[in-house]
Amino acid sequence: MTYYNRRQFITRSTLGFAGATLGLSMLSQGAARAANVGGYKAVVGIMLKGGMDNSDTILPKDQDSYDALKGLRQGIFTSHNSDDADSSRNRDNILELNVGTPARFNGRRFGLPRELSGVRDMFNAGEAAIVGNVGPLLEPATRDDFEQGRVELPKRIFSHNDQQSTWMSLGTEGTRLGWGGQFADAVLASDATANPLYTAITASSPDVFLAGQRARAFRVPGVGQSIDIDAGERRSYLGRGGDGDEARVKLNAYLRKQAFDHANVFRRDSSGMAGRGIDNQIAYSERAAAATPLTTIFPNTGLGRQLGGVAQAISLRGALSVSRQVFYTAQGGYDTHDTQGRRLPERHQELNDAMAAFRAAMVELGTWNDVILFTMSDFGRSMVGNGDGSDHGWGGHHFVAGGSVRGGEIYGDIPEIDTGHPQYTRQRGRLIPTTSVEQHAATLGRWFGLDDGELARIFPNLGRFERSALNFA
Amino acid sequence: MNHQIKSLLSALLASSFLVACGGGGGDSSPQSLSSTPTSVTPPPTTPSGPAPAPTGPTTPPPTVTKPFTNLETREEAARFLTQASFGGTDAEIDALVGTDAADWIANEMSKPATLMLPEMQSRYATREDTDGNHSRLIWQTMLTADDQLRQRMMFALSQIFVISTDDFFDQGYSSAYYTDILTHQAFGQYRDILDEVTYSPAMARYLTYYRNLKGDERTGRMPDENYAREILQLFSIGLVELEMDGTPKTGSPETYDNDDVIGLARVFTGLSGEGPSFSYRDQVEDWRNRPLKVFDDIHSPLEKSFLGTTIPENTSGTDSIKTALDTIADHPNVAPFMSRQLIQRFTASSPSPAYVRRVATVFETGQFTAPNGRIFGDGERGNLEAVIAAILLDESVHDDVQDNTEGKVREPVLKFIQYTRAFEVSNIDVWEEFRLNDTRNPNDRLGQHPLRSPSVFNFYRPGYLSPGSESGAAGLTAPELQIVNEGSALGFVNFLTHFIIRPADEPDRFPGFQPNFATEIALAEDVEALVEHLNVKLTAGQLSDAAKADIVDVVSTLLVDADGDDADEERRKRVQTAILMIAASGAYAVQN
Repeated sequence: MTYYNRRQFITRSTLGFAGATLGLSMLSQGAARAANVGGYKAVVGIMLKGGMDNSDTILPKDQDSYDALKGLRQGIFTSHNSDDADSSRNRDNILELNVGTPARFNGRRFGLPRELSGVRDMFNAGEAAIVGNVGPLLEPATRDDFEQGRVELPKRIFSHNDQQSTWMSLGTEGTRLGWGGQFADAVLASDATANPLYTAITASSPDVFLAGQRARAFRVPGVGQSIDIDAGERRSYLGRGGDGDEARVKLNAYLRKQAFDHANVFRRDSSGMAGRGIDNQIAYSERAAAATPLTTIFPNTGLGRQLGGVAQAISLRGALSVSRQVFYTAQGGYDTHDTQGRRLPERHQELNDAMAAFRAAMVELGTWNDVILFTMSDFGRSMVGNGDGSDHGWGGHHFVAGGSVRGGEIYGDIPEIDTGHPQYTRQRGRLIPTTSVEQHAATLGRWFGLDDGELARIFPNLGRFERSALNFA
Repeated sequence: MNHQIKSLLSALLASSFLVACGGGGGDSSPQSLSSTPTSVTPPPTTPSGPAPAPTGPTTPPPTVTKPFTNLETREEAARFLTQASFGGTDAEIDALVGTDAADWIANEMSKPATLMLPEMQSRYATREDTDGNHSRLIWQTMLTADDQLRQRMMFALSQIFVISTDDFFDQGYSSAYYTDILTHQAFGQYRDILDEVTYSPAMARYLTYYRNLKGDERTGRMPDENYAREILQLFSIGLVELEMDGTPKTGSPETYDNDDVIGLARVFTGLSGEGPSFSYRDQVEDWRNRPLKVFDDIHSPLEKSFLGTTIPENTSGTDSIKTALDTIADHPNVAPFMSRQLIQRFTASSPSPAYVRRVATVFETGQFTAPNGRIFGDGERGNLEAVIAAILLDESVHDDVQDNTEGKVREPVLKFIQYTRAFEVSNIDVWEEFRLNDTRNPNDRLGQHPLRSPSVFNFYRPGYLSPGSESGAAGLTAPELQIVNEGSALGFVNFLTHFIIRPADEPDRFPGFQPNFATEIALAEDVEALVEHLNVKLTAGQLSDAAKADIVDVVSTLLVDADGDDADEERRKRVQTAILMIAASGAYAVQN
């Protein structure tokens, strides 16, 4: 596989990474320089709801680390039947990751469970990377800082909903703007021709990630899901005569109408959403119906259908008049307090198969170099088990994938498996992040085309860290 | 939270209460005395109030003031039924006119509870048969049970004490038993619910403390923290210290930290199914529909510290759980935390702080005296009979003041059940209706199923502000908009379209869910009258003028040849179209 192609080279030369090593004091705050919106680029988020267990995803491949982890969570290994020759958690079966700079890890080696074989292949082909121990932070923190209250900390660290929100919007539940939505805002501010309707797209729920000042999440149907107004399409529903036909036309107009004269604010919102939602969905599905369908088959799973819907939207990028898009998808079921050996492999398999299909679809469209797929999650989980499950943590490990990702590498850090290490909390081995969500997200934003001033506005704590971006894209 | 907007809103609201209380809703209000002669016609439902003299100031006549909870018109009756029940039929609306809402509530509370476990046991011979059928039985119950207020309370409580039958196996009996806890305690005691929920097999399996082991120093294993965390965050006190009005205290101090969770996690260890030992094999056959048992040899013997309470080492599991639940239930946050969420489930998506304070105060005192003198609650803190009465009979709910931030966005389940009840839908057999059971396809599904939320965080969060919306920008919470939005709008319309059109059109093919449109069909040739009738019945007369005009226009477009062979069908088409358009309206989406 050719890892560097000309397009990637150009991308890297123009966006560069000089900024990666600069402190924010050197960045041009609030400069008028607009987002770079040339060509086409998309970032595609996958929110892994419930808190994916980092320790049971990026697995230790070397014997010492493997034994150390097993000692801290024997019950979880047992629930995976790890001593069986066929178990994905048997050390022999762990799929090794060929890390680009192995010397950093002093003999520690890493792998993925068999369920993530497609992701492993992308990693080893240089198309996917891991960002280790990333999570919400306001400034760098160690265990001593945490325990002694020496640093400012994000609020409500171990709470599901608040940490989902913090990953997506840098604030606890109820925060108004997500960084995905603000990326879209930056595009809309810089590109007068960009279609605001289709710049921020969710294939899942309207979570805060895509909420912008101007950008608003448009929901695309899952791949293969048809969209029509039944009562407006089927002649028998309102009557088959000419009067029925006329009524259908009027009914469709009514259902697509957004403004009624409601005094009540919730009624205005409800009517607006209903009319706008139906109007936009019909318009979108008409465009989709006219386009060439993808030949890539997506798995018929929740995430498979969603990423299929995203791929379909990307295939329509010309018709939709967009040069930059931010996508949001979500997969639930990662809150594995128990029976982790059954639950987590199922989740991983769904994630893997959907990501692999998405890659295939992007290759089919010729856009694999123009997209970055990235995971998010509430938090990582406790390294020390509770029996056959794990509990809420803080930092976790995440995937980034795409043709322009500098893959085959672990960015940030994966601390060694030792609860005495200063990046773990004392009691349960919860990772204290070494890379902040803001650094991680700013890297995506920079690749996406945002300038330093825009990034500094969206990520206000970036300047408190040594590096304002990672090097993965 | 935008405190400026919040305080502005509460100031506005406070001033509106002055007007409301002065008005009192009675027929001898100051407004009618000082009004112009053209508007002094007494309301038609006034049985005994003397009409004011048409001219000049006179000595005020002796007044017979009815409490503001008296439901004087069909609109008021219909409105109250959407708040307190699943919505009314014409007969139920008529019966309520001229009565006091407090009396209706008292009557509902006296009805026998419709429970699910006995039904489950009579329907199914074996436990295996019950799996998956909880989903159907709960729909059947909510669609048909007579104890509507109790069932609405069950549904409300199920959205606070959340389990989801999507997420654990072998759930038939345990989920029915769990649902019955919420049903029979609907007007009971908060502390009792906390107790029964904690000992229920369904919650223990959903939040993974079923057969939760004490820690093991040798291996470093620690107890599962799941329930300890969520009982605090979701079922009792929440994350930040609250004022009685539900707003965070200055600086939003957090109610607990991770050490509290670690301490409390030790409490919920050693619980397993009833039987002679902790072992699964030894459990009695019907352990799924009995309280769990504590096995002290598996229960953590360590000291347990949380929320400022310390349970000494070697305390038994039963005593530890009792102390823990007492400590949690006694926390001052419980009253505002629970009150605000219960209000959101019945009457207001973004209740004013003053409203929350009034209800939370009733939670504390355990008693509520209705405006007509009827007393609810036994005076013990946390009495839910008093709390729900206080919510439904609050002055802000019954005043005549138009406050454009009041009202509740309705969840899809409520909107669907109102349709079925309003048109006395018969032959309800949910076992034959896959559309209710499968909620995946957003294009033609309801998008919500009772007791099947995606996580313990319910279908939506109480603090949800809808991105990009006017209410969200004003800092007004609207939990339901998390699932009722652009993405779900078409699915809801198509879902209801099926039920409104197909069973009536094709009864042979769709024999279930047969509506009774007789009253409406009789009005079909007078479109204005038809739409106005449905307007009152379905939206308490609150359709906007613009929507009403559109509906009249579309329905009038459909022709009726009264002498033709198809006259019956043509009349029905008008009725169906009118119902569909109203069900898609903003007035139906939001009760106010």
